[in-house]
Amino acid sequence: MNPETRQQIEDFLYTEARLLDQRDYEQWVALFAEDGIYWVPAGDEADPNESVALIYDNKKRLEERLIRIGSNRFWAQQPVTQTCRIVGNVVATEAAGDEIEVRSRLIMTVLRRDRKELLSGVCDFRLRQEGDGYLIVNKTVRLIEREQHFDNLTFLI
Amino acid sequence: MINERYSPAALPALVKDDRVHRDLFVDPQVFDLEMANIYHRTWVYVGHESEIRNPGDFKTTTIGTEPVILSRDTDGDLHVMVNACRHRGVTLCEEAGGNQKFFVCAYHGWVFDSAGSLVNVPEVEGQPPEFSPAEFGLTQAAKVDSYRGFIFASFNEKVPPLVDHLGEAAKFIAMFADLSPSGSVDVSSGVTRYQYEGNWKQQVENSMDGYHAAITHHSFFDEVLQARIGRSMASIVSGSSPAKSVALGNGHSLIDFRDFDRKAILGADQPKSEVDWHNGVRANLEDQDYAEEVIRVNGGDGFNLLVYPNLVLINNQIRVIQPVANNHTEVLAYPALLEQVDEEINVARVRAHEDFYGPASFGAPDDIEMFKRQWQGLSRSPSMQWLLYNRGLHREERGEGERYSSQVTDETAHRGIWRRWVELMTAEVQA
Repeated sequence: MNPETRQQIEDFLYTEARLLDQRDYEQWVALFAEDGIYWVPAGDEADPNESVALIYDNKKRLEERLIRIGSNRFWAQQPVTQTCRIVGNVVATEAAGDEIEVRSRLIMTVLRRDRKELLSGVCDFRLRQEGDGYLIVNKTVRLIEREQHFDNLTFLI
Repeated sequence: MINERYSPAALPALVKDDRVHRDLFVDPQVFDLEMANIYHRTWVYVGHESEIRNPGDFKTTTIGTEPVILSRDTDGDLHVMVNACRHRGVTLCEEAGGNQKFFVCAYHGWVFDSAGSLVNVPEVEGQPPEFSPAEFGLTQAAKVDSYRGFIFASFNEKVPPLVDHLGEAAKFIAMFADLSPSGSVDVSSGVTRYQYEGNWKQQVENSMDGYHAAITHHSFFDEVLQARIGRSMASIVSGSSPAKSVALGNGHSLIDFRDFDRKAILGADQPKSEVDWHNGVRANLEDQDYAEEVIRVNGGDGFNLLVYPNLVLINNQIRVIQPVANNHTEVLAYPALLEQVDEEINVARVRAHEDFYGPASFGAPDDIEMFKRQWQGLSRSPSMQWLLYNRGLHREERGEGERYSSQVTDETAHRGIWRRWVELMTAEVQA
């Protein structure tokens, strides 16, 4: 990655994390391409069609999430979950045509009511250049906690 | 010492026709009695045959709070063995599953085979001459049996045969399996797990609760589905729905949606993969009337079945409830795949699981939120002594035997569950 691209990519990843921390889900969903996929595997699988995931969303389902987020009966987010994410160790893993694959590490503090948790993992993004910026073609988060019990990830990773 | 209120003679006073005392949820002593009188007395679901197809395959699970290994030995026979070395009780197997001929204790090296026999003791000359390894095989469930691929075990030597225990529930387990053209579902696509601060009976009751759906799941049934399919599906769980709350006897129960005409709402158009699937079901079954009954279930709006105390079949999902403590429950949710169908059918079943049952889905997180709030209210409010289970008492109908049926928003299933609870908690020996 040349320094300019690196700066652009890092800025994009920081923005993506910030939008989730700020619960600006509308702007966050808008980062995804029409054919975008958001995947949080529940194990080590390579094929989401063969194994159940913690989250596997296409753009349509991401947009359906906005309906729930806008609902006054989205109980799992009343009260909301507060999150604080640190994104780092950004490396480009592959570039082809107008797409680039980027790997980063994520550490996030998750607070809801009086319960505080830490989630950590590896994020793989496939980004597509679109005008001056990027769209997410694929975001895959492999949490180190992925085989643990989860009661509520509705705040999204 | 056990509180006299929980003795077989006194306990029924805490479970009335229309209400149940809060202590039956919140008192740790009741939980301990449940582990002995329910989880060590009746049949408990431990796994599916497709999870341990080959000799040497095993998975670890629990019966109540007791950790067990479900193993298929080298002869192909099933064993359910306590996951603790007979020497000093060290956990033998740390993995969720796998294939191995032997279980070796990491502490002193005792070796047990896949049938649970003790086959090697290091430095065995240090054991007194009368030491007999045959006496120190792994502690095993007294009974292990399976029905249509669903494996159950019991620690009770005198438990009635599995088919008698399943009773009316057997037919619905069969229908769930017969949705697969092979006659068996496949549980190989992984699991999602959740836990909550609260009692295991909350999840049991919620699984059979038609009343909550329109409220707890309003954002899905009314709002998301409005956008997705152009209409709300709340009517399926409304007070005017033809769906039913059914007690089947032995605590098994049903939310029966089969009279709800889903096709009238969603249209009767079928993709080719679904036509092929349904033809596969017809080809597999001799009784064509039964085949049509199975097809109507369709993996969608058929029924939710509780096989008391810890198994729920609900849409595409096999749900296993694992009590950990009176205030801690773990739940495992497995998508059930079909065999001999087009791949897209199973992909859709996995996606449907993530849609409603996963940790970021449009369903389960709202249920779990209610479990937490219920626990917060219930466990801290001794001045509110009774929980109500009275809905539909005036209009439920009794069928043959222990079968009761009423409208889907009624609590007929719950009353059946509590009748069984009392039976097991006060029984002298069997069941």
